Amino acid sequence: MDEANGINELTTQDQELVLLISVGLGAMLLLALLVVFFFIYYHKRYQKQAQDLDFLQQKLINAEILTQENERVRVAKDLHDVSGSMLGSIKLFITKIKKDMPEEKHSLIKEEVLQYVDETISSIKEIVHQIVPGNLERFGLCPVLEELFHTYEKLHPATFEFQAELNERFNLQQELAVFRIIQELLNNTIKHAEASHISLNLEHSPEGIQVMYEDNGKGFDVNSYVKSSADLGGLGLKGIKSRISFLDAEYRIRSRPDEGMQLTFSFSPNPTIDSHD
Amino acid sequence: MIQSISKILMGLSGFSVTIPLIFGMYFLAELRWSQIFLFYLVCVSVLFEAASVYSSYVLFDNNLSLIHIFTPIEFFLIVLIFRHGLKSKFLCSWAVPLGIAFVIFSILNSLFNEPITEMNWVARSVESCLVIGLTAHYYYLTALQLKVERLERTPMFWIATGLLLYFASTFMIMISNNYLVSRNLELVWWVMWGIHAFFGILKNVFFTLALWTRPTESTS
Repeated sequence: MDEANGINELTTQDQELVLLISVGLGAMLLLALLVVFFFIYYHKRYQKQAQDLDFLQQKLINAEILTQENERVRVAKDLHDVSGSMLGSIKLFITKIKKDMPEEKHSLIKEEVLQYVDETISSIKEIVHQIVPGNLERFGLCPVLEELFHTYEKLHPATFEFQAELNERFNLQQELAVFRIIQELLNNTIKHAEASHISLNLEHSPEGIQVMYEDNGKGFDVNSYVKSSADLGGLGLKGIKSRISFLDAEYRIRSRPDEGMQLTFSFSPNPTIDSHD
Repeated sequence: MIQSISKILMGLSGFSVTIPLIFGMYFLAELRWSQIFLFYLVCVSVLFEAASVYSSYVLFDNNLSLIHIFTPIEFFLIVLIFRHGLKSKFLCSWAVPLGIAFVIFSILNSLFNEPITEMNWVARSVESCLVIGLTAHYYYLTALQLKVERLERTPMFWIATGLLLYFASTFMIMISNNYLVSRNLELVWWVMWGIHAFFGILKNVFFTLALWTRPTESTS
C-alpha cells in the first residue's frame, strides 16, 4: 500500500516536473521565436518602405525633368517670339540697303536697325535674367529678393513686406534655390490666393537660415496639400518640393481655407567659396 | 545526468564571458559609446565571475554577497548602454535617474530585506523586469523608426536580444524558485538553472557579436 502511494506521489511529482520544464522551455522558445519573427517582420517592413521611397524619388525625378522641359519650352518660345521676330526684322531692313540708296534713307534704315538691335539685346537680357538672375551672383540673395518684391509691388495691388537680417553670402546654388522657391510662391499667391498682403522674412536660426513666407489669401486645406505633395500634385508644388529637398531643408506649412498660408523652411547654408571659386 | 549537464552548462556560462572580453579588447579603439559600456559590463562580469570562483573553490566561502554588489552595477551599465545606443528622448532624460533609483533600491533591499548571505531574489526580479522593459522599448523604437537597413549589423540588436533572453530566463527562475524549493523539486531546479546557463552562454555569444559589429551612421 505504502509502495503504491509512493508510486502515485512519484507520478504526481513527475507530472509537475514535466509541466514546469515544458512551461519554462516553451516560454523561452516562444520568446526566441518572437525575436525571429520581429527580425523577419522588421526587414519586410523596411523593404516595403524602401520601395515606397524609391517610387516617390522616381516621381520627384520625373517632376524635375518635367519642370526642366517646361522651362526649356518657355525659353525656346521666348527666344522664338521675341528675338526671332526682331532678328527677322533686322534682316529685312539690311536686305533693303542698296549701294545707290540716298543718304537720308540709308540713315533712316540704320536708325531702325540700331533700334531693333537694342530691343533684341534687352529682350535677350530679360530672358537670360529669367533663367538666372544676374544680380544674384553679383549682389546676393537678399538684394535680389528685395528687388523682386519691389517689382511685384509695382505690378500688383497687394502690399509686399520684405525683411532680412542676413548680410552674408552663401552657396550660389542654394541662393538660386531659395530665390526660385520664393518666385514660385509669389506666382502661386498672385495666381490663386487673391492675397492683399504678402510678407517674406529671412533670419538666422539654430539650423542656419530660416525663411518665412506668408500671405493672407484664400489659403487651403493642409491635409489635402500633404496628400497632393505625396502624389506631387501641381507643377509649382513639385518645383518647390524638389528645391526644398535640394536644400535639405526642414519645412513647415500652415494654412486653412480663408486664413492665408505660411511656409517656413530652415536650412544649413554652405559657404560661398564652393560656388564662386 | 541532468544535474551533470546543468553543471557543465553553468561552468561554460561562467567561462563564456571571456569571449566578448577578448573581442572587446581587440576592437577597443573602434568601439562606440554603447559598445564601450558593454565592454565595461563584460569586464565587470569577468571580475565578479573570477571573484565568485575564487570565493567558492579556494576560500570555500558563501559567494552570494557578490551578486548583491554585481546586480546594481550591472543594471546601471545596461541602462547606460541603452541610453547611448538608442538615443531615445525617454532614455536621455530618464536613464540615469532610473539607474540611480535602482541602485538605491538594491542597496536598501540588501540592507533591510534580503541579507547579503542569501540570494537577492527581489532585486534580481525587479532588475529582470526593468531590463525586459528596456529591450521592449528598443524593439518598439526600432520598428517604429525603420532607420536601419541591416538589423543584424547593429550592436544594439544583439545586445537587446541577448539581454531579453537571458533576463527572461532569470525572471523565470526567480518566480519559480520558491515553488521548486518548497516542493523539493530538485531536478527541475537543475533543469531551470541549466536553461538559464544556456541563455547565459547565448547572451555572451550575442555580446561578442555586438562588440564585433561595426555600426554604420544610422544604426548605432
